[in-house]
Amino acid sequence: MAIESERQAAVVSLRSEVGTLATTLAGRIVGEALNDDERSARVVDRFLADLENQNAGAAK
Amino acid sequence: MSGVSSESLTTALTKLEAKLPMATLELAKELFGILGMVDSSAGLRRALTDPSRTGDDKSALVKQLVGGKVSAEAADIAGGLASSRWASARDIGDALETLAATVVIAVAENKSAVSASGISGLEELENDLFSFNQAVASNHEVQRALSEPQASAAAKIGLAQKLQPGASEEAKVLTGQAVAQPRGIKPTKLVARFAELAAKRQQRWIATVSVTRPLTETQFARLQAGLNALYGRELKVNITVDPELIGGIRVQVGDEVLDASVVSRLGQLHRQLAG
Repeated sequence: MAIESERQAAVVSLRSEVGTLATTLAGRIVGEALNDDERSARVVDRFLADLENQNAGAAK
Repeated sequence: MSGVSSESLTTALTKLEAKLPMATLELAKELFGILGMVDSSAGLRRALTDPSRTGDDKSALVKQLVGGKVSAEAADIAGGLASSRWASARDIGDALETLAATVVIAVAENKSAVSASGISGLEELENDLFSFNQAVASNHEVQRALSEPQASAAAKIGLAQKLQPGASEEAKVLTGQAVAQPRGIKPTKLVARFAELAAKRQQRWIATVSVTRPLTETQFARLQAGLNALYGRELKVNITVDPELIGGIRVQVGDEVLDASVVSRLGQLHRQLAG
């Protein structure tokens, strides 16, 4: 029983560590990619397009 | 205000919103009048929070009490409040006070409707309320007179009027209410609370936008048009550049946030992976 709960704790801790590592890495990669002006503008443009589509949908 | 009361207040404010385009100071004064009745009658307050009475029963009771003395609209609003659930009698009074003040604030907001934005009228009201509080704070005699329990409400209102000869009618209604019926707190504190309500309403006209780099003219125009269409009013759009977003855009209007920033997406990802 004690071994099972220790194993469980280790899994949770490992999962959290890997998750944090992955997100930090993803953040770094995305951050670098978005240092490019054009790419960064595209992310905003996508939001603007969504906003316009949403309004067009509501107007129907 | 506890959970059940603040829920009831939110519902009442949502219902009131439909009436605000036609808001009048008369309606606000009637609501403040009903508040006076509730505050001065312990029996009425007990009846309003009596758990053995149904909502319809309480609503009918209030409507019968105020019927003939106020407009059908005011009776309706008070009746609606009475039928909701409240944790304490104090809360229903507070809610009525908030509704009445909101009506006054809407009158100020509608005054500037000609310029298609409610900001100017609300700003004027806030400025008037702040100058009133400053005038009171700088004069000890006035403070004493306003907190004198022997002085009549009419005398206090008269004094308040003299302190702000140039103020708008809306500001005068609110400051008059605060000095005549402060309901256990300092009049200036109540005035500050009214000013906060006005400031909160003003936030509904302002879109605070964060991006990681300045928008192009085209992007700005599309954003402005898109937000105006979404909210159905001419918003003032303020842009701030915040590199912490990493990318994307975050828009806040009043209490609402549209978050399409990369940093919040990463946050979601992190919660999924490590949560």
